[in-house]
Amino acid sequence: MRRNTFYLLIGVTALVLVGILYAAIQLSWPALIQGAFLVAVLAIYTLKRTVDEPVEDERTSVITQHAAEATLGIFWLVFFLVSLGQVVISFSTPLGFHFPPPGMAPPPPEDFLHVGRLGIMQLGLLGLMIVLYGGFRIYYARRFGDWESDEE
Amino acid sequence: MKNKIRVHRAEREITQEQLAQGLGVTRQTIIAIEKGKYDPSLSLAFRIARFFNVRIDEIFLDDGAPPNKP
Repeated sequence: MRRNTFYLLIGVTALVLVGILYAAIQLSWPALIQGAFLVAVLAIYTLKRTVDEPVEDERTSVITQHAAEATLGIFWLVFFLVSLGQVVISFSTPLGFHFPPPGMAPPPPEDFLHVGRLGIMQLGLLGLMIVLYGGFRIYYARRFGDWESDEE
Repeated sequence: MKNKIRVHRAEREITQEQLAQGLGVTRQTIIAIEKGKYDPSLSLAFRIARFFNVRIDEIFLDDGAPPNKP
């Protein structure tokens, strides 16, 4: 398989995953997107092995390393700030521990919603991480000679 | 780091693509090395020297700049 075909397939996979995410939300079926995401990642790793041309070499490793370091340098700060804010919000209100009468199960829906909201925040942070990584990758790729034209 | 890869390629009439295939790297990496945008690892530098059958210091010249500074 050619390298560009591989990149095209990654794009198509991402679009399909967005569709599956929408379907999972409509069906209230979390396992659908979780399973699809896992299968997609495994499929991409498998497809990567079939690419004829080298996709990665030592220069791309250096680009990845610098981009990852720069992303982590900013991301840990944002993550810490968001987490500190949430800790303050959580501890500045009653913690809401309800002890049900004996023999009765505690009502779960409220807690379940909290888990969902946490997921949205995490997904937002992951989105930020991807945007940061993408940006730094472009920066370092330019720095280390990607998209350099040549006369040949 | 300066280098004379382009000169050695021209002498042997080898394209960047052929050199990249021979070394197992992307053509973009060869372009980046030739233009001085990327300093290869010691291992790749030796492979390049072996490819052209010359000593490593006949290809790479140290200009004192730190390698691959972010």
